[in-house]
Amino acid sequence: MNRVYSDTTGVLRPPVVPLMPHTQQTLLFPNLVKKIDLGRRLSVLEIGAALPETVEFFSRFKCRVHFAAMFTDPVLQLPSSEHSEAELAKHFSRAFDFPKGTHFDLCLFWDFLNYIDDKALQAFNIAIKPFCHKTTRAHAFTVRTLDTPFPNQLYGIEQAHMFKIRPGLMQQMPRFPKTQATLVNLLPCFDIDQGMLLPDGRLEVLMSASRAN
Amino acid sequence: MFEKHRNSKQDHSRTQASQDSFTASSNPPATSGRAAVIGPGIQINGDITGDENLIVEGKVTGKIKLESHQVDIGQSGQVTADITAKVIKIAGTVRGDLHGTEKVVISRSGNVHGNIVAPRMTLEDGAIFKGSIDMDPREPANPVVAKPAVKKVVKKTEDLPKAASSEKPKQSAGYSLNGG
Repeated sequence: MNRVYSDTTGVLRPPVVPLMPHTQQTLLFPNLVKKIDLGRRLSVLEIGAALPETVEFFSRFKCRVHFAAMFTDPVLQLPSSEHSEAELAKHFSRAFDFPKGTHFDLCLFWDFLNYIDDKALQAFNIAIKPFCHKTTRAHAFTVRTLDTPFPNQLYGIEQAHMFKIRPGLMQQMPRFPKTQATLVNLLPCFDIDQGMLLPDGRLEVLMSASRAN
Repeated sequence: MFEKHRNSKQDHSRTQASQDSFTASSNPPATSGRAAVIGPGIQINGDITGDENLIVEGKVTGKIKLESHQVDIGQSGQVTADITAKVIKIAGTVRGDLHGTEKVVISRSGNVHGNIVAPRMTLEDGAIFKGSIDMDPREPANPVVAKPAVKKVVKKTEDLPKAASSEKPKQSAGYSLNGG
């Protein structure tokens, strides 16, 4: 049950997500799975850590899954103010280390885009764009308002309609929450197709490669 | 005539048994207990090939190729090598590509940076992996897309007020530089 409660300051806040592994329903993710063409090899980008349930989930498909493990990559520690957008884009490309010719059908960004500032997000857009094609689709979390809390957690896919949530392995990193509008502005290689507001104020979105590109 | 045929049959079965025994001893299955061990104090620079299972607790730099056998990288094992084997189990640290013709297992203490090709792959809770996994199940995938039981916890974005309307509009051509 989604309860909004008041803390000692009287400010209404959504409930804190417990730091125990738990599951989270998703209404949007099945829409991505339904569109998977079982006749051809699927290419998937998981921007976060490799988790057992995600590996198990994709083992049912003829696929190649790239686990970028970006949450633990030093690129997140780079101070954006000291680097140009092009430099940051190079750092992202180096961190990705995807084989030449890779084109992803499905990108799982989870809440990663909320852990990089606006400049870094623009650089990320430059770095990821060569690995997208015209039917690339993606999943991400954004926020409705900038004060929405983002718990330190990892996401796995237990079933098409169920994510497994685990506590983050690292210390909580600085957060740069992105609204849907910010994402549209700073990640132009994707268009947002669908969005669902979650009880804690986050927004789950499905995206597809921008038709403008 | 009958006797001769029976003897011939017995000879044939004896020969077959002896062949089986020879095959078993010369090419032990990956699950047999026999294994070579590279101890924690050993460091090898070069390629390793052979005809028995291998346990690595030390350091190896090069290539490991034991196509019909099992390779275990123990917790203290540090390997910078591409590994080809029937079964590969990693509890230590590996930098390199893994090709398991039967399966690859990364256990909770395992840390792998490389690409994996295997028909079956197990990643235990706590394992660290960066790279790609190529999977190809023999049977066609049949994803179960069940409907969630509860629907009331979500609300369509379309129903939301346009809270972000104060933000700047999309700059469609602004950030697609050098993107190819």
